[in-house]
Amino acid sequence: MFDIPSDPVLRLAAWAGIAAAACAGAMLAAVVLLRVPLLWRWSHERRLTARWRPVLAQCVDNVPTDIPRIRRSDQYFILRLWNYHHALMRGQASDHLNTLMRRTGLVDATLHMLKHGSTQHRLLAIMTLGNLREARLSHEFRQFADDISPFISLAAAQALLQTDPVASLPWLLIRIGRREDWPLTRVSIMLRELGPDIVSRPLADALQAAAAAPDAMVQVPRVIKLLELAHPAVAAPAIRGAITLAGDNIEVLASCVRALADPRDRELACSYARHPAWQVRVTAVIALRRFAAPEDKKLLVDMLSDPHWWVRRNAAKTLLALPFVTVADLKTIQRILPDRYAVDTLREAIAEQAA
Amino acid sequence: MIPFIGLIDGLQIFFLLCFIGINTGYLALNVMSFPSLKRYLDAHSLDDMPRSQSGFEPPVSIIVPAYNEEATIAASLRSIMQLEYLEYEVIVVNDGAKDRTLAVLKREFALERFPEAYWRRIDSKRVRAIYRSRSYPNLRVIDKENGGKADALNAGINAARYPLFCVVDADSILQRDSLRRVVESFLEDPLTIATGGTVRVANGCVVNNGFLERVGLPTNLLALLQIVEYLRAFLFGRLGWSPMNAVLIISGAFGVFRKESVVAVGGYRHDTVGEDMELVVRLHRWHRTKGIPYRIHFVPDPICWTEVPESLGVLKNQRVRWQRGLCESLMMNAKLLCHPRGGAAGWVAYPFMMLFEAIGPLIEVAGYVFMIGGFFLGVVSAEALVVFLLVAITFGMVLSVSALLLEELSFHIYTRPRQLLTLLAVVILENFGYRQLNSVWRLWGLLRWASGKKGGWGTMTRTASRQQGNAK
Repeated sequence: MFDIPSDPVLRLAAWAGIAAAACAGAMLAAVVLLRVPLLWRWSHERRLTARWRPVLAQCVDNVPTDIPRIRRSDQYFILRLWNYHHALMRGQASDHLNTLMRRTGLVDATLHMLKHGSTQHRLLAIMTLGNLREARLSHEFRQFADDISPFISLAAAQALLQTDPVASLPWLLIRIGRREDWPLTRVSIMLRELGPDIVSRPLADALQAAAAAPDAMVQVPRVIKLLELAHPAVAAPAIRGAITLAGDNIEVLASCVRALADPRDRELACSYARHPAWQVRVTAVIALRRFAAPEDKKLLVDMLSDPHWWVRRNAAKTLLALPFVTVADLKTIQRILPDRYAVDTLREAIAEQAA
Repeated sequence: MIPFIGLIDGLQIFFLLCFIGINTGYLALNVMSFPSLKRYLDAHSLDDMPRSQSGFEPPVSIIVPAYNEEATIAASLRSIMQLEYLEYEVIVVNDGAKDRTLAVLKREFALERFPEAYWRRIDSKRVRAIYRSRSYPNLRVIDKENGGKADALNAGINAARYPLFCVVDADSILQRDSLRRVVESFLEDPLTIATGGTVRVANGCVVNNGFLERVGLPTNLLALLQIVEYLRAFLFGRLGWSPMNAVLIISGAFGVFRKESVVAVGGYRHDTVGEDMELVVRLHRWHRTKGIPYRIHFVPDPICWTEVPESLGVLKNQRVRWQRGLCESLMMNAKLLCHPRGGAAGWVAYPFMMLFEAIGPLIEVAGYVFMIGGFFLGVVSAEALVVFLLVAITFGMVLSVSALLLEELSFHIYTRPRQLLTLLAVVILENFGYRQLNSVWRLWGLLRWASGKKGGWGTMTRTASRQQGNAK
């Protein structure tokens, strides 16, 4: 048997080793002990899914009357399952799901999760109550939308848009501009579901406000990207206004010029194609792809010799995208171009087009 | 005689304290990774809900450097072409392979020469030709003169058309949503310039059409031991650093970078075998010393699977190369160490890597040699040797078991009870010989670095065991 050494340093080290061995043993036991309930939970969840999936699927046609009893410990899992089906269903089917949820009595449990739950439970509660369109919770949702966690706040923003889109959108758009931790990918999915009739005007107003804000550099590029979801007739004046306010701010200007989509802005785009900053020139060339006229061909050919690679590349792509420019025209241009870089760029674009 | 005895006693205490210190350092990192993982799992608890793509996802250029990959390149590329992501291009860089890599690519993907206006923003060896695929419009192949992996990556960056690029090893096995998961960090935090994900061991897994179908354990003991090592290295080795913005390593097997940031620092360096780590340390140094805000993230989700060596010789070469790469990466960016603006990367992570990862093996091996050698020479008591081995082995066990515990608290990749029991045995077993052997290899790597010997592309014998579906 191992005796604890008498030397104080060795004794200390020996005790440290024994403590480490005990710690390792405890953790080994924890790994095994954690797995036992986990295996039971997995099998229980499989049974719950088998029981509940037909009930939830029935909501496509009507509201099920035969609702299985829900144990308190199963509430979280059933809510997840319900939300999963909600994400897959539309229209009347989602109304049926909401009625089913109210009949199960889980709404009170969800409210409890919202107020007292962990982050995981709170997230699920916000998602559930948003899907239920619980308008009476607008105040709570607004509070959560200002939460420091991007996950909680974004879920609350979505819930707000589901419950009261018209009133919440202007309030939310201010945050959408500022909160860089809200991925535009998620925000755009939320706004797209509302449709252009609801989002157009608030987005145009938000852009004007963002362009005049001290942190315009952050806000404008975010809001302007979302303008794709608005009616072009509403978006165009807002973009022109933002360009005026952008001044010398290259990032803001580039975002605005890139968003130009109204053919009446053709001359504006042409003027920015000669801007000293390449970031602006490249966006002007991209915008011209949408509405360039035959008289812009010379400008675009000149831009094939731009000092910046991205401008040259996009000029070639724009030329190829124009309906009044044929590949034969471009091959002729390629032969007479004096600049080697322009020739290379055009050759690449023509080859790419032919693919 | 008395001074000699004093020296021996002093050394005994020194090695004991070093072992306790090194392992306590790792343990602290482990403790830090627990809340970090909890936060991540909470925040992403609803990620499995069905969701649509918005069209606002940033397009990504996937760069696949290839050198003598004729056996695996076609299958790997087919799986990469099936990733769930809205807009991405794939750029394969054939780094002057001596085998039929290019011929296989030409045949399998209907390549044709393409007159690309190649923009050489970062230095790389001469590009011989650029091809595009007639069957996959988003696939291009760069055929260049041999210059090493870093050079191939630089050529790929030059050809990349999108703002983010993803580096994938030709033999990496991805999951369909791998790219989406890693790119999420860039969406959630605009300051993000690089993100890496967890790499897991593919040996023993069942792979179908280039994607992981079923997780299994390998039958090869070396591969089994590496499973626990990978758990340790990724789950707490990197996750612990992430909240401090001090992740110094993003695996070359799978990482996503903001192209302009990498171009700004000059791309990958050719003069190191650890080009993946060196780039990340340099990104830290560049941004920190210039006071530019940035974030380097680590995603704990298991998103990339790789085949690990199953023979001692190959494993030894890999570990020697990794250690050299680590030393080179740190030395090439020594300015980061305790730089006034170095932050956690310069003041915590860098010294930690230096002391524990770079010099650690020297202390470990010296400790074993001194204690065991001293015992046989009669200058170290049996009591002291037993205490030393007790400390060295039990502390190592704590680290191994805690990695498994983290895994059990989070992803439960190995679902079958038998798999868990095997891993429990492995976490104990690896402390009796394997870890010590690893330290010797790493010391060898340290010495190779100190002697200034150069290296090239790492070679790896592929067993393709995963393709045979021998999951345990």
